[in-house]
Amino acid sequence: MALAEYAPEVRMVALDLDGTLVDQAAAARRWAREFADSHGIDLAVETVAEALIERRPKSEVFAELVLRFELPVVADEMWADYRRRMPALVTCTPEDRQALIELRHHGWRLGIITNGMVDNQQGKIRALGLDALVDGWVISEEVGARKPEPALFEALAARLGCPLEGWIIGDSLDHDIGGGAAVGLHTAWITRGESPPLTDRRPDLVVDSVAEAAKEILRRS
Amino acid sequence: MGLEDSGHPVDVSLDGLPANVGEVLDAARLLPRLVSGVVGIAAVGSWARAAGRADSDVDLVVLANEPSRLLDDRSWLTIFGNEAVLVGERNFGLLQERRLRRPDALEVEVGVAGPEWAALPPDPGTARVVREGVHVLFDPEGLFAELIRVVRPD
Repeated sequence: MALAEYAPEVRMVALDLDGTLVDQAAAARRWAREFADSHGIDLAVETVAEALIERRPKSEVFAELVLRFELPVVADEMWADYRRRMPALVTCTPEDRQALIELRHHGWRLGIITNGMVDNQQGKIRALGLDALVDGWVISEEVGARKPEPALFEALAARLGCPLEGWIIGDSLDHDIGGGAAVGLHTAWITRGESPPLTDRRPDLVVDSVAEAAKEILRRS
Repeated sequence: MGLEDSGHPVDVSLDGLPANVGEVLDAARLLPRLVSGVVGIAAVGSWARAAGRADSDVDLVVLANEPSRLLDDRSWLTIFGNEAVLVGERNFGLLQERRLRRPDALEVEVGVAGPEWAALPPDPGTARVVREGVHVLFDPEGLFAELIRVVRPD
């Protein structure tokens, strides 16, 4: 991925991947069903899917799942299977894809900022064709910093070749909204049905989708 | 992807271990379910010869076909307690050590090596470790059993 030419007048929209641009929960359910069927094991699909969308290292989640449900598989191989299959199982809505096109059309530089492993996250970005709709991405494993650490946001701005100014759209109050606000970004929170917080971390926008956030960002700019 | 039986029997009895030491040994037995390619696990050092004291560390040797799986991804360390913290790393050549401290102050030294650590004839360092006490926890391929037979034929 080539570095973009630095453009001080351009601002960015940083986008979280899992739970924001892609429906990770639905994909996790599909994977759990597929894994259970292919290995002939009885798996509590909903419980497994809920565990898989928790915001903590997946290697720990798989270790706990194997021990808790006494699964006849080795945790790191289960984790590897999940990483291998997820790019083919995730989806992104047509409305959100169109929103990315419109944001770029209006001069915003777009970048995906995600915690995770390169094979899994980059696989999803490419499988969905998001690589053609954004100007770059950063993945925590590659950078060595995780959201909400400022270093990952700074790495994204550097990769996009623009100042660390603009918006973050994400579904995590801690990682996306808290992390983005801490580096001076405006914040748009994808609620996923949750109530907005009543704390000082209240996001600038509370929305249901990337498409809705983009519409409001364009209206305000 | 299936799991194998723990295989060969233990070397010596460890009846009467402190509860926290027993927890660590039980946790170590879970490793083959978390990381693929683990081919042997043994307690060594003072606890393995039933001579541990309250302040003695628990020393483990883990043999794996791909040691990097254990050395690069540390998530498996949580089996020794979610509150356990990594306090040191050392390189002994054939064996890389990860040192953990639990909230109860018990320290666990996990030595990770490839199967060549147990190759015959034994490396002098390996032979010394085995002579000083070994308690086999997982040995489906008999690597520790054969090593013990050669180093301690009695």
